[in-house]
Amino acid sequence: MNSSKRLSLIGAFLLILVAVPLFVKRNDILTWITFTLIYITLSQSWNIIGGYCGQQNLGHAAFFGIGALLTRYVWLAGVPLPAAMLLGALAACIFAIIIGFPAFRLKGVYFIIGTLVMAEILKMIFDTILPRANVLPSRMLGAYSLVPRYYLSLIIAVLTVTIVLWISRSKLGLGLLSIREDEDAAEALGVNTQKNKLVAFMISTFLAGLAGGVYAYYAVAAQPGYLFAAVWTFDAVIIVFVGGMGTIMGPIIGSVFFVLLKQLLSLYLPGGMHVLVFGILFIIVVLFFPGGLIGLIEKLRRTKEGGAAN
Amino acid sequence: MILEVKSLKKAFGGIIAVNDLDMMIAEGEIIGLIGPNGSGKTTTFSLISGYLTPDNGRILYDGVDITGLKPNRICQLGIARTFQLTKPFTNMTALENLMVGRLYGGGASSMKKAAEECEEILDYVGLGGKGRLMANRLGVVDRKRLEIARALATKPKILLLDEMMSGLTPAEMDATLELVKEIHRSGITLIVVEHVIRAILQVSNRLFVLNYGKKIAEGDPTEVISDSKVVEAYLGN
Amino acid sequence: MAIELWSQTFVNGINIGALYALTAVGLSLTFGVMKILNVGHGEFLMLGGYLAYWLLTLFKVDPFLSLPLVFIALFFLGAIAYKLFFSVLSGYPEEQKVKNSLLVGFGLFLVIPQIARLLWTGDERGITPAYSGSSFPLLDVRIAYVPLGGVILAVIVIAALHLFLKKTYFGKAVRATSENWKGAKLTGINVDRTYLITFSLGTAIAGLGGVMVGLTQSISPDVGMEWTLKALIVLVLAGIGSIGGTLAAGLTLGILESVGAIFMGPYAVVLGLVIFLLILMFRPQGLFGKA
Repeated sequence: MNSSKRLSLIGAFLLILVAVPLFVKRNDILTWITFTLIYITLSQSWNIIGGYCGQQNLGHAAFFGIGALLTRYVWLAGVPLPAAMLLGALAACIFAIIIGFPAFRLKGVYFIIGTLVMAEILKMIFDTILPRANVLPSRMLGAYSLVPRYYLSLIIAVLTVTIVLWISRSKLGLGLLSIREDEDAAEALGVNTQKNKLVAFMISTFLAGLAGGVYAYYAVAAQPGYLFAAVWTFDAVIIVFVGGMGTIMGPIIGSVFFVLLKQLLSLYLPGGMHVLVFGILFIIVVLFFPGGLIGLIEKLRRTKEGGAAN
Repeated sequence: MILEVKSLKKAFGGIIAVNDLDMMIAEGEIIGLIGPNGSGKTTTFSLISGYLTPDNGRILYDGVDITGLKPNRICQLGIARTFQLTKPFTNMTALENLMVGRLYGGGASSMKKAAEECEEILDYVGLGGKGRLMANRLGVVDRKRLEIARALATKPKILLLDEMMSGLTPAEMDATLELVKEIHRSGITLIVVEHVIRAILQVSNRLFVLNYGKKIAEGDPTEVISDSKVVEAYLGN
Repeated sequence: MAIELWSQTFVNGINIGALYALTAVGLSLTFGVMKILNVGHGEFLMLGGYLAYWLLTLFKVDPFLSLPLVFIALFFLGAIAYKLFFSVLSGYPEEQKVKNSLLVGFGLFLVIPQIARLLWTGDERGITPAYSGSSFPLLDVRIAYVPLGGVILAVIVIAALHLFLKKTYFGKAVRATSENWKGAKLTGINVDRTYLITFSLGTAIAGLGGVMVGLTQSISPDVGMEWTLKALIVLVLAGIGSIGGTLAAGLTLGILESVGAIFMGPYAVVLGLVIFLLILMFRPQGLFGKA
């Protein structure tokens, strides 16, 4: 498929997404799409640091939470939403810089566990100092409409995907991939691995903070500790893995299936069964198909075309 | 002197890998660095390229002290290295492998320019047309070429080649030797670590011999090879 | 402050600390020998707890008597898990193997609690035999029977493991494989079988921990990760390679948390995690480990 055809396909799809709320009034469908878009944002943001750069940090929820919490309180205090979201995302980014330096000194397994523990610490702190759920004030409850939430999540999702797309085609993208593949070789070729990891981390966490901001706007009631729950990290991670690490379409397809599965399965089975399915897929991907769904599709397409000769 | 190594020392735990090493290398030379296994050759490369920090001693590049600088900085300054066991970026294409070097080490101004220049380098080393292949689909010989090409992409003034001949057939060795001579003709100073003595004798104008981290001989290749100390070192190990 | 309060706090710390040590020792074994950090460790603990719960509820088996049964069951479960998921990775290069095992363990953490939820619902289960709440006075403190049983169990298991590794042929095989698996293979040790048994031992001991957790706290499908984290903290505190160090580190953590609860109240739970991070950054070999 050549690029202009692809571009028009994407454009048409986006147009449909924009038009949906005009024709569809059912809240459950709007919620479903909104959630999918939030997950696309969240998973793509993790994709930058985990998929492209190969640093599988498990502390992603912390940045989602910081973005969500700050956005929520600042917005409810009267600051206009865009400014509130920007503040939230910036706060997440600043926190990333602070912990980035010590975190990236840890190697391999220790980095992964260390980031998870950092996020858990934040969660426990907020669970303790802000135990009660934060509910929208009654004047807002009355005027609550899903439609602006929908469009906000769409804008942020498009923004995020565009940024990831830009990275994947840029010098930064190549640098991140080289770090993922072989840090020592990358250093030997002139890549400042520390700096690049930090840059990827900052972009990743900023976008995660934005995702949190969208959620803060969307949620009628939010318990602060829940905003930092590890499940936000894990959902993003398994979406990226199963969809395809370091690809553009991977997290998008992964998110669509994830949220779809979640909605469908929750109708008939106790909550959480979508995690069961995705968990099994995750294990299969890790053991047998590291490229995820997208990688599998690529492989099938290549074998169909007869494969390039050596 | 394009490269001066003064009293270089590096120990790991109780083992001294490089012991009080001095080397003076003029621009345009092809230096052979030989010695039995474990004599400190690769460690010396790692020290020069910044991958390891010396315990003692200094490294001067074009008169500038580069001791303790990080590997990426040293690469940008003009010293590139290959690895004994090739380290390709396996899930990236051959072209992308080179582009990393060109963009980050060689100071390319844009992705497009980098791609063009790297295609040329691929042709230069004999990988022409293979730019779109994933690095993990390249055979042994091509991987070695890729390793060299990547280092070349960083526009080095000094190139450290670590055992390029291992695992090659005599015909492949000759082809690689030709490439090395080509690279040298283009003005790059080379330091070559090798086990295949006949290859080293063919290209280098000067030889350094290491044993247990110490320099035991230095000078004209044919003379050094027949030096009794050198023969003993190889036989003894 | 009253000496009774301090003493009771100390006893509480020992009680919970012994549990931490027991949970950690299985993980330490697996990580030390195979370099696999089984993040799904806590799930086996959870399953052990459920098994003991159902043995008590359905068949009236006393939890302490069910320990050997739980041990055997979780041993087999671990063996199956190893064969299914982890043995595939043994051919990989070191760094990839470690990373991928972590991910697989993570996958188990995702999957097993959901299966537990499907089978047994999300309700919390307490293992409450008749003597559950009783205790006896000793000097100025109250010693509860059940946690005391836990302490004794932990000490016995850790001592037994220590002897096993030191004295038996198989134990020596485990230690040899842990130091140098290639060398071990050359001397005729069946490395694959060693790994299998080591992993299964780890999960079996985790199961025992689960029984104690059920007795002293409660078991629910999501209880696994919390204990995996505790085991990790003890592991990092103790360092790899020291079984006795794991006991000491577990008790230390327990006492620290217990004392911390007096001063920091609900924030005491953060204590362990913060210690974990500090040790990782500044003394990665732990307090007792080899550098």
